[in-house]
Amino acid sequence: MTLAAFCLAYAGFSALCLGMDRHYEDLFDRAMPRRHRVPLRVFGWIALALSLYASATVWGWSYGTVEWIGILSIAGLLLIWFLTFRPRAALTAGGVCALAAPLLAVW
Amino acid sequence: MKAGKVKAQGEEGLRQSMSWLHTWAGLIFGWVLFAMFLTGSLAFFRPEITHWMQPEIQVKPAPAVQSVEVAQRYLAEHAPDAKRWFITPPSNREPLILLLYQAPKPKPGERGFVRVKLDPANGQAVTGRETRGGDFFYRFHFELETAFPWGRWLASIAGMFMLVAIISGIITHKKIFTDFFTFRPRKGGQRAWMDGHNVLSVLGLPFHLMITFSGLVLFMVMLMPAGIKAVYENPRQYTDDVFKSFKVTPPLNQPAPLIQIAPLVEQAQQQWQGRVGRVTVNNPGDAGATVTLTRASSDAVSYGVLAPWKRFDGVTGKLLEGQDTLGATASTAGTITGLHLGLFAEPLLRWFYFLVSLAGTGMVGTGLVLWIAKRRQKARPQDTREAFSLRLVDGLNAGTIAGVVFGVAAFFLANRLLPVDLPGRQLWESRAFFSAWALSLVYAFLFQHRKWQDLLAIAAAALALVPVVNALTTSRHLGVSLPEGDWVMAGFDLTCLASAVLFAWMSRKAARARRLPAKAPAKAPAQASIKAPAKASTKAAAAASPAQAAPNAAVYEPRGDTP
Repeated sequence: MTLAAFCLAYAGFSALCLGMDRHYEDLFDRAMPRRHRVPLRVFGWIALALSLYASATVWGWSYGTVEWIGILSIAGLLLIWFLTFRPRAALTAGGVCALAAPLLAVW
Repeated sequence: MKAGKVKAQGEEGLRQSMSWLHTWAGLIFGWVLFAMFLTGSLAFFRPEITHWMQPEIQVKPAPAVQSVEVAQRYLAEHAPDAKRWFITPPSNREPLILLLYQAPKPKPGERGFVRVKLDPANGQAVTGRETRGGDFFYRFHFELETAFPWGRWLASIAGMFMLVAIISGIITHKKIFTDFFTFRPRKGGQRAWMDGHNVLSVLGLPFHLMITFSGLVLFMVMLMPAGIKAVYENPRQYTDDVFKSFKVTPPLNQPAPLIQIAPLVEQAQQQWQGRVGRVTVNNPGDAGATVTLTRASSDAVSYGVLAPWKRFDGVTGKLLEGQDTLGATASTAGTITGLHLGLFAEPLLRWFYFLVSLAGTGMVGTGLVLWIAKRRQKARPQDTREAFSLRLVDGLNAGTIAGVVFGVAAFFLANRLLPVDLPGRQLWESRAFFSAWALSLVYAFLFQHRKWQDLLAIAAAALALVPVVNALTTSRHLGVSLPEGDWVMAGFDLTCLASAVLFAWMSRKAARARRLPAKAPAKAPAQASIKAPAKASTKAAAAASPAQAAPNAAVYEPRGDTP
């Protein structure tokens, strides 16, 4: 479940990042179509919220919130590292995380 | 319209003045803050570091009830006349029983408190090599090895500058959300360093703000005593009132046997559904004896400094007073300070603490280097005063960023290499830390052009040597600890190796950045006075921490100084 929280945080940040014109262009070499922006952002925020929820179910709200903030920082730094040096891998990892999170949560 | 225009100007003015504040508040205490951040990060692993530094001690933890019984037997035999006993039962992180007692009549010049570590299995005192272990970093982090109370004041003032720097930094940062994920090392120079600095700061912001503010809250009694002075006649009354579990209760001066403490511990643990973290006995062997049990600070986020407690009569075992829950004020203060200490953190969260704290170290390091990168781009070659200030700051940067890391490695190496029976051994370990740092500073000023590259390489080599020397001098090296699953020893060695790789890579980046401009002299003719240091410095900043590694590395490639 902690891993699920981490995956959700990473996937959420990836989506939010893709929902920004600059990063979308960097990754796909074309301008972001309008209709992509809102779904990406909505997905990103929902994933971050679910990540908090996942963390809180394991650890309780007070400990879980602290743990979640740690997860966010590490996931964000990791994503930025990927984006800079392995942009393709960053995208793949985001997708894998988005798919893995529900499985990890159930399991 | 006019009003709008005026407002816009005012805003720009605020940003600019905040930018000025951020630059200078950050710089003045930057080097101290770098050392504080790094040692503070290490202090999250305080017992684990001590464990590594006393490899001859191999003990398995035991349950609190049984350990308290062992401890009471030892103290009744060795310190029956002591005024107070403090017993810390073993935990997952610290397998030894820690005892502290106040000797009734210390010899002149000696301290009144005696510390003993017991093996819970056989009740024997355990002695390892003399070392301060993780306590060195813990203490340095807020006392800076300076006499009480000056070190604490210096650290607090540095902390206030940090808080000012963080808040002014947030105000200055124009595009905190737009640039949230932005890191463009290939742009080079100031831009790249700025991105790296922003990324490390913004992503770790909740932690950085929390740790800086809560650090000041930990010292609030020292920093803001007015309220206490107004209400209490003397500080003792205040501490007795707030830290009730530590209160000194008076003796009756009639001998009476002390009850068995272990059953009280069992009873309290059941009632709390938690662990007893400390047992305090006042006046053992006296009719006025009391036994105070305090809940383990690892049991909840807010128990770091203030935890629930119970006081029993030391002869009859009757419950005298206690607090099972804390008031709103105590919980609030407890949560803030508890978050700083991180004692509640399970291993995974402790690693998060460590890594994000290293990102904070990187934030300070990149900030220091950014100061240089910004000025170097605008520097006028004829301005000797400016050249001097650039050289001074760059030297301090290299000597501190690489030097403190080298010092930490030297501290660990000294622990393994100094003779085990050397008198004052622990002092020599600390001296190794400070000598390494001081030598790095000297080197940084003697060898202007190679300093970053060389010092980073030295730090990397020293870090890489730590596991090697450990393997040569003990039987608990990676070849043994990994198969055994001894993660404290193995984790320590592996972290040293990982940091060594990071620093070696930064050193290589620094070397490359230094060579590149030399090959194309035409590109940087104006820079003669500044030369290499600029580029090199950029890399160095990264060195501080693993977390920051990524940003820095990228930064150099483009060579920052091209005008």
